[in-house]
Amino acid sequence: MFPGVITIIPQFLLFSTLGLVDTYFGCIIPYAVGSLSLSVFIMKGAFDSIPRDLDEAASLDGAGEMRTFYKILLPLTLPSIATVALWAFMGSWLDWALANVMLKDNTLWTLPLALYDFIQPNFTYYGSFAALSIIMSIPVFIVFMIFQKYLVTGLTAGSVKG
Amino acid sequence: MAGVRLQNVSKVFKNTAAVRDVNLDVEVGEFLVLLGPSGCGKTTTLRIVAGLEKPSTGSVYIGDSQVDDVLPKDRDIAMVFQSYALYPHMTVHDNLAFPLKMRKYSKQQIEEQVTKTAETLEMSNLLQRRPKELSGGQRQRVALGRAIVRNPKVFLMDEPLSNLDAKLRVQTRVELKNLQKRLGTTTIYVTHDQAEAMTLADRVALMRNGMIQQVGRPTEVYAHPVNKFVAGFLGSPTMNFVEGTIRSTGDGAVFDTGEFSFPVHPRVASVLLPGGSKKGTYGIRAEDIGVGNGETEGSAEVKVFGSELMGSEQFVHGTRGKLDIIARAPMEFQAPIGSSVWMNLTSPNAHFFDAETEMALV
Repeated sequence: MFPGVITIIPQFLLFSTLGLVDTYFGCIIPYAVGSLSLSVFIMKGAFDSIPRDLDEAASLDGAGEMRTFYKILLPLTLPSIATVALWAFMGSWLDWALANVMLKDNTLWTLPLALYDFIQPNFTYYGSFAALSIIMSIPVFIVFMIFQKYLVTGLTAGSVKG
Repeated sequence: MAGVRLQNVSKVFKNTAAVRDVNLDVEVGEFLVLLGPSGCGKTTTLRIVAGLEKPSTGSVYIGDSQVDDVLPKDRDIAMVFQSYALYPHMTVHDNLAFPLKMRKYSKQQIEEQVTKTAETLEMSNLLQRRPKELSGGQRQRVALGRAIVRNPKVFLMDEPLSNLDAKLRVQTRVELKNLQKRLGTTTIYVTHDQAEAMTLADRVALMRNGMIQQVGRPTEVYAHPVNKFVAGFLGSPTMNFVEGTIRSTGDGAVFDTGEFSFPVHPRVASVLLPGGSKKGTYGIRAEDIGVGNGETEGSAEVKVFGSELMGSEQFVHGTRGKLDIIARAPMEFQAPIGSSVWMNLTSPNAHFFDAETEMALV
């Protein structure tokens, strides 16, 4: 696996051709696609670990494929969904490198860029830096609180088994 | 309720034939047990009836309708899996209600049916628990409950008792038989446990290598096996098989093992023409062998190399040359290891199997 950072320049060139630099989509697309590989990997593991008997039992009980998916399979993969969701959220929320390249207009800036802006060549606004750091951590904290009951099992369950 | 009919059903996985040309007629309300060793195709056959596998050739009928192209959910059958396949995130109540919800029963009907089923299976106090909070036996009952809750046409059961401990298995076996008779629902039950098959079945279908060997009432299959495989599979301990030659004598016939010979019952001797002889296998069950501490006419001396006490009886393992013979004896029979006992192998219930085809000749 290559570090994601090395794809930033090609991405920038591509997105500038497409006119996506300095737009939210310029970040949204790479964030979504970037988190997909690990998410798919974890979710595949999660679905694979559900015994086939459960699908079959549901189909004999009268559920169609969609119903089996929503009523049986999806609830059983919640720990993995929680893991994947938190992972994807944190990856995007805390990214600085890509946003720094894609977003030049400071009205579009993400919080990590604003945070970085508090560090100036000759002065660092430590007070503001600390305050914004705390503000930034609140959503992460909230998301973690929501998912934590799944997360403890999910962290191991998603990777090896569901 | 409906019967089930399999007509020339075969199933091939890649290059392996799992089920070969199976013809089976399960009557309305009948308890049919598919019995056989691991990998004999019995579970595949059951899954074909359920619609979880498509037969490579042949057809399945439930009642009068051909169901080859009918989805499992529309076949109106219920299946109990070996793993129980309970929905782990739902309570027992919701597990039972699930098949009813899928079939759009009203809330009131669902409550009535769930309560009734829970009462039938004596698990009303478990309704709010989740599967992981239940013992193996309780889970097994929930799985059964999920099958009976909507009165399907046919029950399919895939070794549902194999995860229970020995004592619970015996108890559940009786309950299951009782329940099936009360509900009167046609049932196909898969097992590799011959004791389970004997106690549960109205009829047993014995399978090997994807083919049905014999179908019949348990007593019939036990007493009159069609071939050596069936004879050896049913009964515990397994039937004793002795290779050798049966030979006509002046007033009857003897079976010669090469090591020793013993007279055979006229019923067994009937396989021979007068003056003839035939190579084959003599089969006799442990309970048909007479054991004694002294020589009697026609008995053979064997050395005891072990005995299993079963409670009111014991199985004496005797050896002579290359032969191992197991005979049933009363509990108090004295057979210390290394001693000699006399076994009488002449019995009207013995069988004779052809050396080449292994088919039972008597």
